[in-house]
Amino acid sequence: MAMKVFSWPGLFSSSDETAMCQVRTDDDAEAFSGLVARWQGPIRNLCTRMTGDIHRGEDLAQETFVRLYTRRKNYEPKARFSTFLWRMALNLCYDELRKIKRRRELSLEDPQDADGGSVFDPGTDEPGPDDCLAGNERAEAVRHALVELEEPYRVVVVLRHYEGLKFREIADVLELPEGTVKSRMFEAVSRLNKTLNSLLGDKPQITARPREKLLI
Amino acid sequence: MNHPTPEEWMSFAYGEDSEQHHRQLSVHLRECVDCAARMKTLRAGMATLDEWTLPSARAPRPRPIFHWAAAAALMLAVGIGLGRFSARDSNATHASFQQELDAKLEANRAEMQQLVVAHIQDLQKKQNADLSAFLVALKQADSRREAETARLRRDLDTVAVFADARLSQTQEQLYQLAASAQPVASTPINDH
Repeated sequence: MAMKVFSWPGLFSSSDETAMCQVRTDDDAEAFSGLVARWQGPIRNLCTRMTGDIHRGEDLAQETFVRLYTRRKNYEPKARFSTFLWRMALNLCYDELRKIKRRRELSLEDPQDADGGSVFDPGTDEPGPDDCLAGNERAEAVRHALVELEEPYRVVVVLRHYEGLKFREIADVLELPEGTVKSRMFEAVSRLNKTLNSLLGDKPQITARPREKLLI
Repeated sequence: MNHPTPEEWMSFAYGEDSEQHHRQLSVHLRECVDCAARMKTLRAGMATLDEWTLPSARAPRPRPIFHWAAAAALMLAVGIGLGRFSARDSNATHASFQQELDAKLEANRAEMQQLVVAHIQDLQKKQNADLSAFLVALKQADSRREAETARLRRDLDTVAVFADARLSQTQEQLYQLAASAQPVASTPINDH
C-alpha cells in the first residue's frame, strides 16, 4: 500500500485556504481575523450590489462572517475558500431579497408603477437613504436598473463586472455551465441597456474611465 | 467566418478568450457591420455599469491623542519660528536657538513615534479583544443551542412515554368496556 507523502491541495493551498483550515480545526482567532480583513470589502460590495443598499450590504457582510464562523466545520479543506465564501454571502443575499419581496407584497403602500417595478425618479427633492451610493443621476439609474434585473442575471453581472471573477469561477460558485454564465451575462447587459435607455432617455454615455479588464 | 455567439463575444469583451481567437474576432468586428454595432452597444452598456461606484471602507476616526500631538507640534513650531525671528541679528543666539530647536524637534519626533507605536498597539489589543469576545459569544451561542436541542429531545422523549402509557391505559379501558357491554348469550328456545 502506497504511503501518502503529501497532498496536492495541501502543497498548493493559498493563505486563505490555510487560514480557513486553521479556523476550522483550531478555532484560530488570528486566522479568522485575517480572513475578515481580506474579504470584508469584496463581500460588502457584493451584498451592496445585490441588494442595491449600502447599509443592508454592510449588515449582510457582517452576517456572512458570523455564518462563516458558526459553520466553519462545514468547510471542506479541498474546496476553494473564495467559492465557499461567495456562495455563503449570495445565499444570505437571496434570503434578504426574498424577505424584501415578501414585505413589498404585503405592504399596502406599495410604491410600484403599472409595470410592477419600483418608481424611478432621479429628479426627486427628497434624498433617499441610498443617495450616498449614487453620486449623480446616472449612477442612481445604474443602481436602479441592476436592482430591477432578475437575480440570475444580476448575480452574474455583479460577480463578473464588479467583483472581477472569471466566467469559470462564476460557474463554480453558481454551479452552472460556463456557457450558461456567459449567455446570461450577454442577456443581462442587453437588458440593462434597454432599462437604462428608458430611464435616462438617451443612449448610455461612455463617461467612466476604461477598466483594465474591458479589452474591447 | 460565421457570426460569433454571444458567449464568444462575452469572453472577447472580458479578455478571457485565447489570443488567436481574440484576433479572429477582432478581424470579424472590422468586417461585419452588424456585429460591430452589436458590440458597440454592449460596450456602452458595460461602460455605463462603471458609473455606479461604491465608497471605499470608512476610514477610522482620528484619535484625540493625535489632535493633541499635532497641536503641540504646531505650537512648538510657532514658538521656534518667533524665537528665530526675534533673534536673527545675533549669531550666537541664533546658534543656541538652532541647538534648542534641533533638540526640541528631536524630542518631539521621539514623542510622536512613541505615541504612534502606543496607539497601534492599543488598536491591535482592542481588535484582538473584540475578536475574542466575538468568538466567545459565538461559542456560547453554540453551546446554548446544543443544550436547547438536548432539552427538547428529553421533552419529546417524556411526551412519547406519557403518550404511550396513556394509549395503553385507554386500550385497557376499551377492553373492559367491551367486556362489560357484551350481550348475554340467549338461551335456545325449545320448540316442543
